[in-house]
Amino acid sequence: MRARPTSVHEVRWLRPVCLHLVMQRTTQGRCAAHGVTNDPAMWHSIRGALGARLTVAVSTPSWALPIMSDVKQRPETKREQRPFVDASMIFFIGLALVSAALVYWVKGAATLSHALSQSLVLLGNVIPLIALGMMLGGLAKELADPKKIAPILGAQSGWAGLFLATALGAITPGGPFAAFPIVYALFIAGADVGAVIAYVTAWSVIGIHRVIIWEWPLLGHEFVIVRVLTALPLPILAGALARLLARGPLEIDRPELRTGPHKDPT
Amino acid sequence: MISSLVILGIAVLIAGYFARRRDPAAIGRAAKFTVDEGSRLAIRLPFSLIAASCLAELIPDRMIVSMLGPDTGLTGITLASLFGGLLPGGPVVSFPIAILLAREGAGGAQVIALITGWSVYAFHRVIAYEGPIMGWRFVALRMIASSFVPIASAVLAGALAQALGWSIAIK
Repeated sequence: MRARPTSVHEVRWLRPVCLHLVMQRTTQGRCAAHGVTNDPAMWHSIRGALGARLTVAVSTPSWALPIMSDVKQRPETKREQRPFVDASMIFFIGLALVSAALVYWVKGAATLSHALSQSLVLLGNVIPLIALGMMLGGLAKELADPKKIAPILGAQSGWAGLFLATALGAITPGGPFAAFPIVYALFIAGADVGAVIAYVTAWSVIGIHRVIIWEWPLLGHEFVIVRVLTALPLPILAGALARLLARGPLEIDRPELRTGPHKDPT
Repeated sequence: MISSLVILGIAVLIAGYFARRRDPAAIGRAAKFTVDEGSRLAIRLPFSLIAASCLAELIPDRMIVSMLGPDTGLTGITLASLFGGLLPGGPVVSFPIAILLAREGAGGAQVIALITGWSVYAFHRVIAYEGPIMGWRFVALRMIASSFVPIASAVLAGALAQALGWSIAIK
């Protein structure tokens, strides 16, 4: 892969990919990127740096590199660990304490102990299932190979593109922090907006990973089979609808496409 | 529960076989993923389950049945998808809430609308990720294009369950 600094214009639309970067102002008043971060607090400093003439090294999933061809490749660094105790954990603990106190206050100790034992039983039931589900999720991540299908999601992909985007979205693991950089990578690589929306919708509605880890253990396989089977065509329809809308009132300005599609120099 | 455990176990064995054939180190990476994710959940899950069961005690059953019960039809489905969209956080919040609402009398199709509304509308995700990353025009386009998805999913799943004679009510 050819490595070269991006222009200011490219940096502007690469902005979200830069969420994964730690950027530092250098003595020349320019910005340079060092390493990778998962820390959302960096967003602000990155946003603050926008508009400056930047040299960026962008972190992308390895499979997305072929479609991120205009981006200077970053040397592989160790993925940073998310902190073990974070805001959402404090939120859960606080919510549990407050709601337990409310139950005790409003309904008394007997109801509280009933609620606690009910959640303990539920916990005991779902732990083995969730552990197996996570193992299956980890294995699915090993088996799925989006590298082969991502670059084909072109603007002229038609229905096949919508099908492909749906399949790709369904197998994309992880939460929004993992998925949206991929979504944006697809978008700026020239994937058509319908395909991108089919991808997002499939990731959120079908999301095999979440189905395996959460839905199947907690809600049972009959529920899952019925729900997933009937949800399969919906992302494709949403993508098709988005294509229609994007031709009309909701056209999205995409300056990166005016200069023609990005070619993979490799 | 037991049948789900058996099916999941078989699926793990099959996936493990193929992953190992492709790359012998894959099993180790998948196990590491399980331990990493599991240790994060080990603290959140008990607290979110406690919060969900306490909140379910606080919301009167009759209110849930009258708003989201199996007989509420399209109104209940629409209400459930909007309510789902407002749920904050990841699956560790939404799934326990879905289960407890189901136990308190919400209908199967309404639970599907809730989960799908949570994943498709996801107002918290839109504000935190999608708007800043993709731009608000994209958000508007996606919201309009996929606005029918939770309702359609619930209606179709309800119809399929009825055709198959399956129950999607959660015990």
